[in-house]
Amino acid sequence: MKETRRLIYVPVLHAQEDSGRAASNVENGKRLKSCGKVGADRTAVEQMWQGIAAKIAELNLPWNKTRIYQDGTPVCGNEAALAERLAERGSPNYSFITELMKKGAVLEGTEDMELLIREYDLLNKLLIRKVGSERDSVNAEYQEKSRDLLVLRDKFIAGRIAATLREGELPIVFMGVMHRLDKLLEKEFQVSYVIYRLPFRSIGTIYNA
Amino acid sequence: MGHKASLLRADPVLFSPIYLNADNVSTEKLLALYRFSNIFFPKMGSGLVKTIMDMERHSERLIANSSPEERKKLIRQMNSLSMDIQFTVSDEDQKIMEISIHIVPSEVLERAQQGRNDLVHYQQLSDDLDKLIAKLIAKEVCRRFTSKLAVGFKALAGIRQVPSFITQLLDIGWINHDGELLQEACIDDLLTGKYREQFEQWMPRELLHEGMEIRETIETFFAISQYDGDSLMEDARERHALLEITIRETVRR
Repeated sequence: MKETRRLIYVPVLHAQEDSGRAASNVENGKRLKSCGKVGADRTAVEQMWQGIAAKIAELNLPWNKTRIYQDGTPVCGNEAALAERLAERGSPNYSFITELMKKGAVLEGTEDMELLIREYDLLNKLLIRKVGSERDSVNAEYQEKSRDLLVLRDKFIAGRIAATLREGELPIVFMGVMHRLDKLLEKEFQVSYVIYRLPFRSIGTIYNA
Repeated sequence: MGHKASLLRADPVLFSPIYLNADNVSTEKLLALYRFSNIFFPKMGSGLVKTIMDMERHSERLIANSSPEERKKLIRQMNSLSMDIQFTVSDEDQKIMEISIHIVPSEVLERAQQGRNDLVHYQQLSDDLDKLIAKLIAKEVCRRFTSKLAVGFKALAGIRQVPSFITQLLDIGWINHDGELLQEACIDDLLTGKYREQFEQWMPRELLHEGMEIRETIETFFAISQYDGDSLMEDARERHALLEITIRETVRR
């Protein structure tokens, strides 16, 4: 009987820094206005990555036999250089991945570039300034289309993992929380989750709430 | 309702507080109810508040068609009247959530006459409703999970050669001899932290899969934040900037 292979699945939230601090088209005024929220989010995201790193370290994974699949990394032939570039721009996600690569892990091209470009176009449309009900309808349209796109992306990624993972290798998947990729992977893999900060860290806080 | 816990700080003239029956709230059906609500009543929390606010706006329009004298007279005549609207969620006749909307028409008309907008109250009420719903779900997921853990721990504590894992948890005061989790227990460490390996070795595999429930909780919180237009746009900007760099770097090489 075929033994079910293990897969490490890390649900992540995207960070402000994942997009690079100097991203060209970010409106400075808007940033300043929401700097309080951004500051809090940044702390939470930093904590999240520290937590994830600690938990992954405890797993003692065989890094030279580990293949990384990362949300937003296209199949392009220069995945490692792209990761380094994004890490240089301040992305905690990619900084962590480059650390794992130094230990011997391999970053695999994960996403279909065409689908990422479609997502980019959708976002472009969403971000064109709109007001009132028009903005609401654009938001609704974005939500619907991005959901459909997410399904296509998940299917592609699942196929990509199946096609690229070699005998004896351990896959580790970093994926945004909105993805349903793990549902697709459960058929082929025994999915082990690395989850940072459960909403109920301590039983006491729940029962005393 | 037996035990009522007020969850809002709203001005009682405008809205009565929301009451949550904490004794009855831990029901298996809560998550399903939330999903149902999300499908059929998207933005339930903010939608309800909008209805209330629309009532005020509607009165504002009505009042614009009357003279100042008539308005004053109407306000005076309505002075002692009040109106109550009850919104209740029940599970087999047990009320689990109750929203009492108490309106004093003369106050509402007076506010409408003065043209006062209560956007702060609106936002606060909407936020509190969202937090309330999210909190209920987190509590329910936790309750289900901890009760399953207790069954597993109790079974292990009862065998002749008690595993060292259980002895450790007993020693550090995380569980009692009935397998129940105590105040200091940290589910995070059991599932994904330093006790994970032992947990995996001794506890049923499906319990680990309960991690999925936790993920759903995270998603729920995330989904709620997405309802907020500003958060949605902020997330979109971040994602857009990330993709912009990715596409540029990929094409350049």
